[in-house]
Amino acid sequence: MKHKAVRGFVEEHRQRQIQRRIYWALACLTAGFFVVALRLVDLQIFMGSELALQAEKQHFRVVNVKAERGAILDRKERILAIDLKAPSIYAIPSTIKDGRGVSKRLAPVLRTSFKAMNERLERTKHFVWLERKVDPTTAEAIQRLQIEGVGFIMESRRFYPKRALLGQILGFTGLDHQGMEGIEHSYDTVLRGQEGEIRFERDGAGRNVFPEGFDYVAPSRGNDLILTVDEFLQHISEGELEAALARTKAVAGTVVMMDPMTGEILALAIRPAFNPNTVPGRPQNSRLPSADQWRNRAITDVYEPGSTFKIVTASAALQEGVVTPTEVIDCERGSLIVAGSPIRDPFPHGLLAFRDVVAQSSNVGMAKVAMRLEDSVFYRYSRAFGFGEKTGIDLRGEVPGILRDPSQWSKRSLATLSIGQEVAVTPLQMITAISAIANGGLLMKPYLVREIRNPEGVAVERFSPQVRRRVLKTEVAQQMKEILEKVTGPGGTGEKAAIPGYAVGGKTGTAQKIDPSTGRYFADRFISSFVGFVPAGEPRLAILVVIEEPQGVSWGGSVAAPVFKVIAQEALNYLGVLPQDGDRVLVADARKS
Amino acid sequence: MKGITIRGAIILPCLMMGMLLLWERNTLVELGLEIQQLQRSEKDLMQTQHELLIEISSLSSYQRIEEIATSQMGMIRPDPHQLVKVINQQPVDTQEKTDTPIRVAERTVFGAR
Repeated sequence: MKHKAVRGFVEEHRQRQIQRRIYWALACLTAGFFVVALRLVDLQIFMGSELALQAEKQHFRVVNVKAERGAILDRKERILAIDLKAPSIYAIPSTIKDGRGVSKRLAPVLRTSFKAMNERLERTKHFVWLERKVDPTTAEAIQRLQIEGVGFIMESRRFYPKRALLGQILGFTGLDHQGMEGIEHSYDTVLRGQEGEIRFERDGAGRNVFPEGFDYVAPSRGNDLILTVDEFLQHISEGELEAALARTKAVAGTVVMMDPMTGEILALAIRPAFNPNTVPGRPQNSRLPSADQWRNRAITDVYEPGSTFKIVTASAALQEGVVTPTEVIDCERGSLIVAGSPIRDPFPHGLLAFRDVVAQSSNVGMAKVAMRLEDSVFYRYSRAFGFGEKTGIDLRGEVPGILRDPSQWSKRSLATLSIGQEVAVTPLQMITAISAIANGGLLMKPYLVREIRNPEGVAVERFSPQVRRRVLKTEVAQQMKEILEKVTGPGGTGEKAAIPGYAVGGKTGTAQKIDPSTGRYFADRFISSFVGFVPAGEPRLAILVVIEEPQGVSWGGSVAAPVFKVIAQEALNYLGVLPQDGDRVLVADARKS
Repeated sequence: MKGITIRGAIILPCLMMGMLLLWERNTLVELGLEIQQLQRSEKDLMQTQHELLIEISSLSSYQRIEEIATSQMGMIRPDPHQLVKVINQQPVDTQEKTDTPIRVAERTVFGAR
């Protein structure tokens, strides 16, 4: 009986134990499921979108295809930059059976080493560019090899049909078709267009599911730019600048031509020349050209303007009423002591009317008149003409030049500034300043792009002239125009800029170059310049010519003024601006024909 | 006999309808192919036009023309006094300053020196 009770107790205990174990197992399972459920919620709800993206990335591979860039055209819609179709060679290594053999065959055609080609094919299984934007001969040679897993995609390559014309202003694009310099860079977002893509699907092992084909989304073309520049005016400016550099053995030069009424840049020539075609489409590892070749010296380089800056001094003095055009100034026989040091004239003068002080470019006479002004007043006029600040042209990389605050001036500064020393300007600032006199006193914002057009040819944005501020009263600007006309008259320093049949206003400048290592002037290196406008009465053109380091005679009137004359003469002829003397003009009555 | 006539009356129009549908389908396919071919041809022509545009643009470069004129044809730039402008009396659009009057003199005297 007792034995039976014990057995019952043991049985009951065992059953309880089993039951407890079942409960424990159930509890563990429930907890496990709970953890899994929590993880599921986490994966599906909290991390769902992120993981879905990751999965898509693993399943698909996308290769971007650059869109065709918009064209760049001159003001008469002549093409300056356009895209060409060029074949790019790709490989899908997973479909190539004998990688080493293929590398051996491809390497000599693509002018690379076997090792480099083999590495490229082994780097990835899916898709690899072998060479981008190759020339047609290379493409044909590859095609003849008929290698399975090697194919072509037509990509866009930038082409500049006018070669070096306007090279530094147009700039260039990189291998991925992005704007790197010049207008290509400044208007990159406008020109670039919408990228397309090639989409591959991959299996779990990372292999292409459809190695023979892929989804292709075509890229959409960028907008076109219509520039203010005229190809013909650019051509004559570059041609004459080139000839002048050859004649004078100068190291560099700049010509800027502007419509003084609007601020439109009509031509911008820079030498040494730069052909942007030498950059795009190059082999993958080639280096970019140096900045010396492609930089736009008209906005990035500064120079001491010398006597051309006297246009600011004379304007300030006339508007402030401290001098009149006919007032006689004693030019002290060519030497004036200011703060212990002399200011000299290269050709001594005695008594000169103020207008002749400008025409003869007397440093002494100009300094004497300038010293009638307060430092702050002279500084205000210099700033008003746009010196010491960026012009705001639609190009990147512009510098403001150097114009120190009067608090940093010495006792000599006013006198030296008045003759264009202790100040550094960009060619663009100088052309904008002379334009302000030519157009009756308004400082215009220079610009290079007149219109943006979409691929359908519809204008999406038009740019119009912008007045930055009024610098001079109309009557003072008129007085200045008359004075500057005398510069190109008989006996003026700019006599060689005179054009028969047209009135020309302008100013010559000859400045010593500064040695950047010592901060002192070079004794034998000069910058010769001439800045002017024509016809003086109703100006259509403002032109600046800057020649760096001419050999031999270096006067602005001898080196730069003749270049101005030839360029202006051809430009006036091209624009159909008739001579004021009415000579050599025939009138045809078209209504009778 | 009557049954055959009724069946014929049903089958014949169905057959004709079927053939019509087949013909229509065939025409559609043919037209589709033709459209595809024309689209390809249009694309090719557009590409040719683009290439020609680039060629024209390269060939019409002033630098190239001047080089040919001076080195191959022996032409020279005219002196200003050799130029005679012939202007049209009709009013010229003043909006576009660069629109030039009739200019024939350059051509007449080019290389005359």
